[in-house]
This record gives sequence, C-alpha cells and structure tokens, in this order.
Amino acid sequence: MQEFTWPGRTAETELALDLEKAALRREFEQRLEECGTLAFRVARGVLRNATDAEDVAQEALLRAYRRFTRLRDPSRFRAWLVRIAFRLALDQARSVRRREQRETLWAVNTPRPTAEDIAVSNEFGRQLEQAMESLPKKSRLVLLLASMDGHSLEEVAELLQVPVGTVKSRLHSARKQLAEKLR
Amino acid sequence: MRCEQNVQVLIDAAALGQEPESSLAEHMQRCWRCQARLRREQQLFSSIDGALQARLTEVPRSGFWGRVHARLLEESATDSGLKPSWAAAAILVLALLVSTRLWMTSQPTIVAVNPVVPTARVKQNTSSPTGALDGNRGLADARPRKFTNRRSETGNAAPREPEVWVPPDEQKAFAQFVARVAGQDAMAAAVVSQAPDKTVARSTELPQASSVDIADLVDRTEQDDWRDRTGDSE
Repeated sequence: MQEFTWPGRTAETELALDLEKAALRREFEQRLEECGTLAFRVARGVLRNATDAEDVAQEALLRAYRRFTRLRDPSRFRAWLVRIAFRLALDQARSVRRREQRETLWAVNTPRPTAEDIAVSNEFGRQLEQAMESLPKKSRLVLLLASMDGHSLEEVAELLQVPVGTVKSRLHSARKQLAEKLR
Repeated sequence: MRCEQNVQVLIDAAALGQEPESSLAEHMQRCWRCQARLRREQQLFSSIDGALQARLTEVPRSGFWGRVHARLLEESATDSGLKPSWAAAAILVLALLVSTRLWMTSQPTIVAVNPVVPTARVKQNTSSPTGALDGNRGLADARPRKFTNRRSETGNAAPREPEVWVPPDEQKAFAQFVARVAGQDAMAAAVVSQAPDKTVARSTELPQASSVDIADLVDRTEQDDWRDRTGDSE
C-alpha cells in the first residue's frame, strides 16, 4: 500500500522531515537517560504499586516527546517532565481509588483478613500512603522530590521554580502534617 | 516550665532533625517525659523518611525501557503534525456545515401566522358623537368591510391582530355569526371582548337620525296592474 503523501510535498521535503524527526528522537532519548528514572520515581511516590507507576511514567515520557518541540527552554525539561509525571500520577491515583471503592462495594461479603494478613501487609506503609494523599499537592511534590536521593533543597527549588525558603516551609509543613496523621 | 508547653517545640526540632533549643536543654536533662517524647517524635520522622526513601529509590523493571523506546519509535513513525484521517474528518465536517447553511438560506421563509382570534374593532367617527351612521360615509364605514390577514399578503412577520371593522350595533350579531361558523362559544367570547386599542371610544347608543324618508319599493302604476291581474278585492 502506498504511503499517504500530503499534496505539495516532495521526496526531498519528506526526507528532510524524517531526518528532523530522527534528530529530535535522538535528543529526546538522551534526555530520557538523564530524567526517565525521575519520572518513574515521582509516579511511584504517588502510586501504591510499581506497575501503575511504570504505566504513568511511560505515558508521561510519551507526552513529553510529543510536545518536545514546543519546549522553549530545553534546560527546563527535567522540571517539565516532573510536573507531567506528577499530574498523571495524581489522576491515576484518583481512578485507582474509585475502582477500589467500587470493588469494595462488590466484595462486602468476602471474609475479613486475619491478623496475620494485616501484619504482612505493612500497616505503616498503608497509613503513610493515606496520610500523603491528604497533603496539598504542592507540599506533596516538594516532599517527594526532597525525599529522593541526591536532591538538595536548592535543586528542588530550581526544579519547581520557587525560592528555597518556600521549599523549606512546604517541606517542614508536609512532614509535620504526615507525622500528625501517623502519630 | 510545664511539659505540655514543650511539645510543639520538640516536634519542630524532630521534624527539622535538630536538637531542641538551648532554653530547653536544662529541662530536658531533668525531665524523662520530654526526653521520651523527643525520642518518639524523632523515631516517627525517621520512619517516614525511611519509608519514603525506600519507595523513591526503586527503579523500573527491566522491560520498561524497551517498551518506552518501542513506543517512541512508533510515535516518530507517524506524522507528528496533522494526520490524514483527522484532516479528512475536518474537511468533511466543514463541507457538511457549509452545505447545511446553504440549504437553510435557500429555503423560503415560513411566516408564522397566529391562530385567528378575531377582534371586533369599532371605527368611530370622532367628529360626531352619534356614531358611525352619520351620513353616506358613515353608512359605508358601517359595513363589515374586511376580514383579511395582511401579514400573509405583505410577508411582514411582525405579529399583528387581524382587523375586523364592525359598527357597535352589529358587534353582537357579528360575534354570534363568527361563533356559529367556528362552532365554538369561546370564540364568541373572544370576539366580543374589547380590543387592546383602548384609545378608541365605543358607543353603544343607537344612532339618531333627524329625518328618514321612506320611499315605495315599486311604482304605484305597477301596483295597480298587479291588483287587476290577481283580482284582488281589497
């Protein structure tokens, strides 16, 4: 089957477009090596399991790729990707929560977990997740980024384009709120 | 200093990972409760940090990057701009819109006609209080002249009431006539109701004529002939 060609496009322009796309992909993949894991970790910080976080990270990377040419300042790629991943992860978390609520309604008559099950299920981790869900979005993102290895407060401030003082206060407030809920 | 007042200070110190301020140091050395509280808070924050860091040091599974690269190749293979299918759909929708618009403008305008609710209006000769039967002009005006809907003739879509000119003394009869024709009593009521144009004064008085000459219907000679023929013995 012959490939669709827009009217007015010659073989030369097609070739030039292909080359441009290839260059764009190479540039993006280079950035992907630097920031890809960050996108996954941001998603993992919001979501409860790694599989969901991988799906969200993949979607975030694809979206970033589609809009890569529109990014005026390439040095902002890292911050941009963090925001995309965080927003998508929040959306995914909401839909997971809704799904769980529906499933809970259906499974009202299922047997209750034993004490052993509860002990195995890492109660503290579950409570921490719940406490994090109640945090304001801005504080939550600061907490996630600051908790990642290798991120100083200055780096977090640069990523989010806010003053270091703001990062400090948001982080302090988020940690205190978490502790309050877990105490 | 009471221990309850120190709680917030201890929490802040634990959250920041610092030692309590120097003013509390002396109290902390003596008070085992505050010492225990500080230890508890420090443990809590340490657990939070530990749990967060454990989660945030994870890396994606081995197949993840392969999937991402495959998707990127797939994306770059397709035109990043306007896709042909979308362009075709957009052109189709545009053509539909234009043709619909053209069709609508080519249709003749349908003039909405109000249901006929005849209203009796009385044309009065304002110069004479005796009414419409004043002279020849009055007699001519007194006849029901028209019952037409001018809107349909002129194509004017502005809502107007149909005009029926009826002299005052004929209104009741006219209303009965209309009601008979329509077979509806409600119609009669509508007809005899007063017109919205309140500026026209109605007069229900009978017209006063100064003198009326009554002429014979036929000529006197013809009348005699007719009597002879029929043998009328009057």
